[in-house]
Amino acid sequence: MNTSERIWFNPTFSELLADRRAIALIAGAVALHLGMSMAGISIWSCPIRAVTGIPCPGCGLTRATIELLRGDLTGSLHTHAFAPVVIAGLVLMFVSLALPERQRLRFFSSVHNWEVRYGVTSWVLFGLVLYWVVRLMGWIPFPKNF
Amino acid sequence: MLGTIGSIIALVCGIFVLVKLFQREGVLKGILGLICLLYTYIWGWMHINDESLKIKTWMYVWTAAIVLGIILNVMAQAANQGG
Repeated sequence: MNTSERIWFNPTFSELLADRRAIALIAGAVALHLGMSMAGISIWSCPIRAVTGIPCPGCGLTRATIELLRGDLTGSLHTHAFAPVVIAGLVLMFVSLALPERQRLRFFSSVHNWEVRYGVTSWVLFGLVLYWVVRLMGWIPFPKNF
Repeated sequence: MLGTIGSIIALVCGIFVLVKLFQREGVLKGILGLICLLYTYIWGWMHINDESLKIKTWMYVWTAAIVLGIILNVMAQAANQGG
């Protein structure tokens, strides 16, 4: 396997899952951010967009995730198509946190094998960057109230 | 005005920590950090005592900028509700 292939199939998400403290912090912070945003209080705004005016690849994901949690699938996909991926990631994190140590290691190893075999995380990240470029080019326009 | 300055400070600190994240963890986690700066922020706090990274001051300044942003956001929302 050459270097570029190794990078593509590097376990990334599963490495996070292996670190219980990191997962607790990330899942907790994201849940707090989502909860506060649902209550109308923004505690985290994108500094890239605030300074440059250009949305970053993740801009709109909070709103899209909230729309999806409220059951508005069409609105959510229109705001940001990767909201289901965020929810899937969050579910994996919370499952990993909830499992007893032995089952957690098995769970971690399944996710790890998936990443190494199929390069899932690389595909998702590459897709997200591609989606961002396509939106910036205007081929898939940002929603009017974005 | 204060909000813009806070955002610029947060962005500069974020980019610095993001560069360290790229160098330490590789391309994939770097891109993850770029897409989700919240991840970069948490990664920064988890490695704040790593002397080789030298990110302690940047993380404190970044946190101050975030707290400032939250206070300004809440004040702006309260002012909007007050009419």
